[in-house]
Amino acid sequence: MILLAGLIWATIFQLPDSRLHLIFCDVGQGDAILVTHRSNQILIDGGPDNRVLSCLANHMPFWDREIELVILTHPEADHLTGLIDVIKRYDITQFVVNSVVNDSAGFWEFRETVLAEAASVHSPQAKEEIKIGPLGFKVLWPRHRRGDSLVWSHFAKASRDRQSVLGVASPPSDINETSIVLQLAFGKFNALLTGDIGFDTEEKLDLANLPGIEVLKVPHHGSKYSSGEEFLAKLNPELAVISVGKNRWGHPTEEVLNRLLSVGAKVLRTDQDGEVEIVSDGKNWYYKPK
Amino acid sequence: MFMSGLKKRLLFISFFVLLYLFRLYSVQSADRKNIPDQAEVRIVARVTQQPYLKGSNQIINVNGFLIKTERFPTYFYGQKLVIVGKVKKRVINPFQIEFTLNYPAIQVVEKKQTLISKIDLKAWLFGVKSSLEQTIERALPEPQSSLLIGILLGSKRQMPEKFLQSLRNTGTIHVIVASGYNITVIAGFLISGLVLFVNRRWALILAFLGIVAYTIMAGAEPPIVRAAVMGSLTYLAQLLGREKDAIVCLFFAATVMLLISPLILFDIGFQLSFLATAGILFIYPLLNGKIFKFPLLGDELRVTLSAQIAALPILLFNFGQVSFISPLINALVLPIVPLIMSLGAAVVGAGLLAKPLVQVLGWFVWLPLTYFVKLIEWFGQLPWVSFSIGELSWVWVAGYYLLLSLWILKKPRFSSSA
Repeated sequence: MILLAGLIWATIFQLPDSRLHLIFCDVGQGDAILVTHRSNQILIDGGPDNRVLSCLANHMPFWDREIELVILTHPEADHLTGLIDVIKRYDITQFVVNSVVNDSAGFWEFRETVLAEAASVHSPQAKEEIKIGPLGFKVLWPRHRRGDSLVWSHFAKASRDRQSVLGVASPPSDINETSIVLQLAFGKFNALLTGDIGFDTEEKLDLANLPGIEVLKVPHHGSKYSSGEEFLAKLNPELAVISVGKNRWGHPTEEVLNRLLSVGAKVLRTDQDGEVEIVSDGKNWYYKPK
Repeated sequence: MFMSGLKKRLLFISFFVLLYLFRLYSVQSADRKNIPDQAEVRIVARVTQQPYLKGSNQIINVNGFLIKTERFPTYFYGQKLVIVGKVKKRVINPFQIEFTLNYPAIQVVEKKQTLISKIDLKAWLFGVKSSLEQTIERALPEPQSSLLIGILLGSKRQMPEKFLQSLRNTGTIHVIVASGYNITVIAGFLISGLVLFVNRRWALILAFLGIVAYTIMAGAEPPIVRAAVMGSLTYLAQLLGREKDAIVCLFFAATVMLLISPLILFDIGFQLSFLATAGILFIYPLLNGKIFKFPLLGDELRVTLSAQIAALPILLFNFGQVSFISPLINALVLPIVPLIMSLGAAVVGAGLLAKPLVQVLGWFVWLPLTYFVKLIEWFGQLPWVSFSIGELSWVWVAGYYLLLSLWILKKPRFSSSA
């Protein structure tokens, strides 16, 4: 009886509100971004280990074991490893991921878990829009569908033949530049999620039709080969979030921090500020920590 | 032919001590690895314990070597591996030397063990365990799910680092160490529940089966089997009303185990199991304050406290952290451990029999788990809750046990039985 009463109170306490929550999880060196709206969750990348699980637990009601959409921007360890645990523990309705292969143990494990989940897998390209309720994810990159979607089918499973998968989609020369770039739109609130793109892709992005961007996910953890002056000037974000942890590349670099400063963006870093949460009702927005 | 009782006993004990030392010596000389630090080695062997995760690394135990490697690919118990790398040597004590290999080259030679049926059984047990773990992981968020896995199955395969630290800070880490304590809790809980439905004899038999089931569930790893043997033997003897027999049983079981594998004397799990069980036998009868008369929870607290008093120095000695309010925190969370264990067992049971029930039962176990988690997290983040004591001198440990034995012997109950 006590348990039941407690459960009812806990349920009431955890009922989601009707606002958008954009959460940059503190997962160390890597990306894991959770978007929630009512009972829908969208997870973009999973970070380098299972710390993403605590983030999900903190932002999902305890009875919800379903994540509506999982997006992997590009198949590198600091973006995909955590997703493997997530997929094993939660029900995933839909995957959005390029058909790009990264010949590493982590990638093959990821592929096997995705296949075992038996959810549909979509490889996106520019000008597409993924809608979940009032949320819109406009795809800005890659320009054309990458690789062969046979990668995400069972055709090679029986023989477990990695070579045959590699046959249809050999690893690209620079995986970072294949990152899926998304514009998240909720009412008048807009955020740009950039994966690990560098100057090269920044210049090719079609930013002409973009509305004003409130929040920018700084590309590639603040690498000095990303976040070019022109790119930042065009976007002119109010808030720039750097998802970063202890690393040996000097991320985020002094150069990028200065460039962000010069466009007048407020900078939040997950290594110093911990988890960053942005809340919006479609008109106004605020962020934590202040 | 007549010797005084005391002399006889001393002779008996010294005989076993000598026998033990002999065994220790022979095992040591047979098993000693004479590998210098930083040596290049090539190891061909089977994975001897189920690998576990630490941060973004995977730790594999192969023939006494600790292998630290990437999270993927996942290695399993029983796999035959070829490992090439540099050894790092660390001397813990003269009988325990740790050999670690960081990120060596690893190759899987054989996928599965099929040769020896005994090892197959063990692989099967691990299979059962990991499928139970998966049921829990799919039903509950973190850190609730790894807490339940820790309490129920004694493994900390995937515990979030932060929560693990909170457990250490608050002096509650022992709840996730598979030890005699878990066994005693299960047995006690089963018996007190079952006597409501069946007679005492049947309750005992069913409780015994429950312990066997638990041991299998927890992967039947040596520490758990040892705990199960000690725990169930002594518990049964005690319940049959033969307190002295129970004590004899405990020492007998421990002696046999030590003679079979002398090195477990240095195993924390063994020490904890033995002391927790001994604590329940010796200290439990001496605790008779008013607080223990409280229905249900009172007796639980009494069992817990007696095990804690006996095992405390070992916990401090090994985990190097003291918390002032550890007794308070333990008193707040431990009474709900049996509830968590039984609801958790229902969850994994449903995972095997009736999948749709898992989620509903999961909600019910989520609540006490969340209470546990929130409390530990709240206390764990207070900076003054615990202080690191660094190395606790063994003198303190010895002194503590001396005082404890004096206290036990002084109480009238035992003075006549000596």
